[in-house]
Amino acid sequence: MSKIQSTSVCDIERSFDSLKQNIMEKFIHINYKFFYEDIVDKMVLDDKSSQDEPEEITYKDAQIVSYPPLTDYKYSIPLFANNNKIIVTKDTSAISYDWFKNRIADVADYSEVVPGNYTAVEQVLSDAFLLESREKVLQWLNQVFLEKSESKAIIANILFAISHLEYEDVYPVGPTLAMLALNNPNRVLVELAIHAFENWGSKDSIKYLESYRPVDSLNQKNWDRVIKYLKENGE
Amino acid sequence: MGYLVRMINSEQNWAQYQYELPEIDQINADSISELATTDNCISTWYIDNPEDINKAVLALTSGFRNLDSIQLVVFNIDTLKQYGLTAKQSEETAFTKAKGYAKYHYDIIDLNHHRLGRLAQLIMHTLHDNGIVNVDKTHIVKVLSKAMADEIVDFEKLDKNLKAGLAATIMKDLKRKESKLASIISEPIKGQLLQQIEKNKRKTNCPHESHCMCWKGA
Repeated sequence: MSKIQSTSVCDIERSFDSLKQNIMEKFIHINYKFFYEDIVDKMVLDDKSSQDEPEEITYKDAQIVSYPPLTDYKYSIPLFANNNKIIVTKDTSAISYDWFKNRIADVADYSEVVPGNYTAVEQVLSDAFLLESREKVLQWLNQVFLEKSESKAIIANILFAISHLEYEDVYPVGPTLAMLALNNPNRVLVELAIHAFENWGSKDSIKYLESYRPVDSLNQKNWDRVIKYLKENGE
Repeated sequence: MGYLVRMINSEQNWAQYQYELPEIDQINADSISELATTDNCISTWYIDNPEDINKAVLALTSGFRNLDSIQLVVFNIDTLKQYGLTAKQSEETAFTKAKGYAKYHYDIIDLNHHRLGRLAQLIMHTLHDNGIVNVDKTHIVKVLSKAMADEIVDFEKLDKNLKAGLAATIMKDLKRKESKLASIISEPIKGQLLQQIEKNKRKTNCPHESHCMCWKGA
């Protein structure tokens, strides 16, 4: 009896090793974009205990929860949320403006906008930059900013997220959005726009900034401080 | 005596301080919302005197997930007592990546509705009398660089987004003729920063990047 059990475990281990080997050979030199687009036709993360038929969903609907490393093989594959019976198709064309907008709207939480924090919106931006060109993502960002201008949470999160990117990487959309936010009647959003210019630390932006002055006295004080800072320390 | 330092998320949440020093029941809800408690405690950092502010800056920012300019309020412990509040050293709840700095972590303890209001009043009064302390990114980078040089902070142990931002900012500075960090950054640290710059260029979001090789083929 014990011999049979032992054989059975070995079989499982052998199968798993073979699977790992197979994956390693195929995927060792890829990045995720390549992974989704060209390699994976179907990836089945199937819970063997479940009797349900696997449900097929696209990347658009999938939610990456973690990238568990495959021990000994020094690379990772994404693990998707939703359930344990997912088939992920190769279709990255599903990464669209609507996907981007909805994902940002879903995760934008104003309480995450705390100095030093990394927000869920930043993660969406980061994922989008992996899957699409920089120009396209910035264009989407611009569009979301306009379409969702009534949402303080979304606007605050976008301003906060772009303030953590390099000025050159978000130019010209980033500073344009921040300039736009300076006219927002909400004083906290104006404060976040000023914070973005401060974080970018670009002398290039001084010429835009000097043509403007916030209405609110606290923001005015900050504004003057940031212009002085950029003149003294800007790149 | 001694002072306690607390980070302000948004100065606008405390805007009342410019015009009035409100009674406890007149304080804006946004100010109170900023004082999010855990176990009825508020986290602060202890410094001996206001000139030691960099100690609090280091304790705070080394635990950050992003490089950001910050705003601080500094109040002395005697004043805290006058407001009926108590601070207690609390190493076990400290979140900092600066070695040996957990001991500077103090909690303002036993907070309830009334005491939270008193704390908001204290912050309001302090901002009114002494103003807010602005700490820009350039200064934070300098403080963190110095801490790396002094082996108080291990670059590799910082959050990956903070590392990315820090490496990019320091390397930009080192390329400048009038670099402010050249005298602080040693060759081994520069090596770590250059490695990080390479990682910044890769296309992966893998949180296991330290032992994940997938990005190398990108």
